[in-house]
Amino acid sequence: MDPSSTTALVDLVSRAQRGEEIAQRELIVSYQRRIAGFVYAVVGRSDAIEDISQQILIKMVRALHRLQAPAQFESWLFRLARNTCIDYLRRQKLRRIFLPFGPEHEDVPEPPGAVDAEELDALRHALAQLRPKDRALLALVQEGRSHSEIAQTLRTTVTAVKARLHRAREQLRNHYQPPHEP
Amino acid sequence: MNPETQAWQRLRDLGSARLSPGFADGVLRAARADPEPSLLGQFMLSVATAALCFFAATLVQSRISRADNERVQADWQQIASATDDSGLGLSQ
Repeated sequence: MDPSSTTALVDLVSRAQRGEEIAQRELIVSYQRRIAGFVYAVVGRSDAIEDISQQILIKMVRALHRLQAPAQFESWLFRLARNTCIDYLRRQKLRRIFLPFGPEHEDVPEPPGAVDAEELDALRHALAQLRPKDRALLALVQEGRSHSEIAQTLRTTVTAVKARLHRAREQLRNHYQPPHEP
Repeated sequence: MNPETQAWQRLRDLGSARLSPGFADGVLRAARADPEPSLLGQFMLSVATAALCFFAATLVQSRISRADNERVQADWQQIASATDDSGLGLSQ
């Protein structure tokens, strides 16, 4: 991100923190697509994207006044997104324990046409083999988060992030089988 | 761009395409309509609920024990008068 856009973002976040509805709306519009993509990568279910994205952005609007460094907004937002996705997956896991018929109803495959490319299917399959935390880690990297930002998000060290990232990438490569060219 | 990167890009595109029109306005409405209760508010509500439960339990308990006392007292009075009637009382 270049310095001018960083300044613009800090200004936008500061205005949103003061409760300016136009600024809050602009923030949501600016980030909703990236958040939705992130949610899809971590959760893997297209029918949950809108609901979870909404939860994340509602949390963002409500908690924005607690953000002390507006320059850290993106890092803070993706931490919120990551934690919300992990919470969602934990709740789904609990529901499966308490609802014996849960798996049949919840692991419904994507409807035909929802996934429109073989590469995408291969990536979704590979991601589904990873732990949710590793999926979130890879999705954070895809979102352009630096190692030090991810370390802050996960409250760990940069070295630990690099090690986990290396393992996650290796696992993804093992499961990722791109379709052969015709 | 390698196939994996392209696939990531498509994954994000597909995810973002799932959002319905007017999503941002919906988020803003929801964020304002149902304000998140503060931690202090939740704590105060818990304290008030606990106090109310304690008061209700104390009230019910005192009523039950008063009713029991009255019943026991009535029984004893009945026994005492029956004893008097049968001449087994202490008064000679």
